Amino acid sequence: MSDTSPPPKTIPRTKSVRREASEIVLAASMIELGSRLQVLQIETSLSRDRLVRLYREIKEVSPPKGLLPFSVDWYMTWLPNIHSSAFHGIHRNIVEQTPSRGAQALVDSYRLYRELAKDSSGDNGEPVLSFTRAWMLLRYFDSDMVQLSSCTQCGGTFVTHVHSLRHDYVCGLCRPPPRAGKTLARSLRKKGY
Amino acid sequence: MQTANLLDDVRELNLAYLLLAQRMLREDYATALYRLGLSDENARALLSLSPKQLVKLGNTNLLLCQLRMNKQQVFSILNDDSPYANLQQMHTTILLSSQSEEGADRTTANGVVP
Repeated sequence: MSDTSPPPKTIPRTKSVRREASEIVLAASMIELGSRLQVLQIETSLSRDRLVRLYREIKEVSPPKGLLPFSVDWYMTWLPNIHSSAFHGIHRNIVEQTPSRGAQALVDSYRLYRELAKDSSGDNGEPVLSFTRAWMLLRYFDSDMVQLSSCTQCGGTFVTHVHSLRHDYVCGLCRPPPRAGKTLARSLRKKGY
Repeated sequence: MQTANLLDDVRELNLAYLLLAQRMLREDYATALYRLGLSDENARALLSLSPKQLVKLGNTNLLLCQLRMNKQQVFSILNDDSPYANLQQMHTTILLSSQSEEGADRTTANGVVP
């Protein structure tokens, strides 16, 4: 996270109990979806202390320490790119078509994504795109480190590197790389699919 | 005789659709808007209807719910021979989310989404 400056908090710090209550509900659903502590600190105005306590109550373990995953390249690899593009598509729809905004829009669209990703999860049973990575993706868009390109074959909108050529872009589903899906196939076979 | 049956089915489906849509919107408004593909305005109007009004609205010879995909999308989805059913679902989601942007005229001529 060292490379992007945090955006201004959407919710101003306030003493309102009602606002605090709704922030706790939001933070709790973010924790349930697998959010890291750093994300909660940026998206809510709750104190670190309260967030740590909330985290312990819900997950029954201390929040993990260490840096957040920060590679833009991860989103460009085959399977993560498909998942990230699907998530971002859902998020765009949610923001454009519904009154849901900010962290709430993130929670709503991540829930919808998780529903979709339920049976393609990797070895650990987690969806390919974690909640924290989904949040990072939106931040990368905000800071113009990634862009959207339309596939010239299927017309779908996909996440690509900023400044990459767009006029003849073909997505990973229309033109999969030679070894695409081999790891996924192995892990699915292990699970008995 | 056949047509009469068909029309009964259409009315029944209309009512089932309207009731389901209302239930979904009451449970989780934003998510339901996304799933149904309804506009905020239409959804609010639908929510305000009484059961009697729903029956009245559904009682027509026209089907009220429509296919969301266009011809190119149907083709792309069917053409996706990925062996994993789940990736096809992802593809459908990606295609459908791109569609609403085209509707909103956000894509430019060279396929760039600003």
